[in-house]
Amino acid sequence: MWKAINTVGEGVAGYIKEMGRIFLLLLDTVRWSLYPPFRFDLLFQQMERVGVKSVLVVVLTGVFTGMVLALQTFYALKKFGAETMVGVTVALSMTRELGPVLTSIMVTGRAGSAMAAEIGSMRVTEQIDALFAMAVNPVKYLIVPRVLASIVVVPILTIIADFVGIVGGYFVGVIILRINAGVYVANMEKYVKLGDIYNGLIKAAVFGLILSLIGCYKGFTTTGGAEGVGRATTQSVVLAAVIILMADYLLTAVMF
Amino acid sequence: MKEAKVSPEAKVGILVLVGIILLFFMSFKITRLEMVRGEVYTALFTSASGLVINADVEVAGVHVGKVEKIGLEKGKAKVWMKIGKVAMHQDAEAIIKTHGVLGDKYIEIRPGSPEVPLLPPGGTIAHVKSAPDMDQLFASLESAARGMSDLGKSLGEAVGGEEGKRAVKEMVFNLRDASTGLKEIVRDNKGKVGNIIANLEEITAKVREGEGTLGKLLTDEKLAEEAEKTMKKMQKAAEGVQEQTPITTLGALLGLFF
Repeated sequence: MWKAINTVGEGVAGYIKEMGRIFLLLLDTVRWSLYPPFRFDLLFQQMERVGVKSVLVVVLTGVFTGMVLALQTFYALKKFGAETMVGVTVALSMTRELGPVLTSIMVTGRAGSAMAAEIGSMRVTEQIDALFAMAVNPVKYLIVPRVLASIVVVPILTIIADFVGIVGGYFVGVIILRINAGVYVANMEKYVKLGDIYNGLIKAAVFGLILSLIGCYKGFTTTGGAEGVGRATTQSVVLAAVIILMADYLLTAVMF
Repeated sequence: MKEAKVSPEAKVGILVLVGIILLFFMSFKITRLEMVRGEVYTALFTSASGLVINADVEVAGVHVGKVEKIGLEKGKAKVWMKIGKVAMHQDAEAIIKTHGVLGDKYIEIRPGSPEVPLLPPGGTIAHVKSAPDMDQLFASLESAARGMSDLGKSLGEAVGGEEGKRAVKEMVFNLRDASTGLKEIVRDNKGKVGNIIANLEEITAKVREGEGTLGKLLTDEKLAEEAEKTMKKMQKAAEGVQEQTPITTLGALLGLFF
């Protein structure tokens, strides 16, 4: 009995400690990102890896999400004759919610996992210790470019996802389901506010921070050889996805 | 460096550019950046319920401006509207209307007649109306329903009661008398009715046997044969037309090519 309580307590304490370490890493990252020299070359390299290489997967996700949204909301809205509101529903869902969330989850899968694997294998092959020995701060050299790149790039990918999602919704709504094109677009322009788009972009920036920070943290704390790298990668994706979804609710509630 | 590669900076630059262009495109699409130029006019409504800031102002269904501000003045709703493109006259009218049944409230403006002097900018539109909203509609429906029930009641009063019942009963009796009268007429003139029926029988028999013009028309076989011939001819003619068509189309097509 005592043992069970002990185990649970240790587990909880472990999670709390982990959260604390992630937060300390965040503070470290912020601190090191303010000191020169600024390594723009590393930043661009990471932006290319996280951003440019994720465009295709984000576009595909966005288009099909928009299309299926149009299909589903059409089914529901037809029940009370409001088919012309399909465009509004698609645009609002994409910009406010699905664009940022799906984009950042796809980027987590593509880039967050890569960060964990890369930094993790550097950790287990003692390259990070070597960096220390060469008086290069690994946080500055490895983590700062990745986190900054993600914060910048995920909102940009989100804009692309929003746009192609709305285009996909238009395609299904107007061309396949034959909703009146003029009313479809007019309603969309009427009911979607600028705030809806910026709302989503703020979320996307926060998600970018979350996914890169967790990817780097999991890589940075990897132990146990090749197996440990695999574990760190898996954990980073699961943890980042869960935290993104939780943060999504909080952010939505705050910015509602 | 075996092949000319696009540097990561360039790729990232393109990505950022695309993102910014899309963001601007979507932002411009949804914010009508037509900074409505025009003059501010005010109007006092008894109720501005459901009207919001930035609601449309329309003339004859055309968007000309928007609601700037809504406030209170002496217990009435004062609405500031920015209206462009239209010259307002002193007899202008402002009406709060609704788009559709569940739609938004908007203000319909009638700029007034050209003979009347212009309304100065910032002036108050004197003639206002609030179009019936749902509440009023329900109220009027209720009064209509009350009218119906009153009608029913008065009808009931007219017919009901001892006097009314007697009147209805009398009516029924009168009807019965009338029908018995009809029956008596038929009974008394039995012979004559029989004659009429016999005459009719004779006529139809003649028709059947082919006597008289009508009879011939119906029974003569020659006439029938001729009619059939005519039909066949017409059919042939139609077939001819049908056969001809593809050939002529082909001809026309060939003509197009050569």
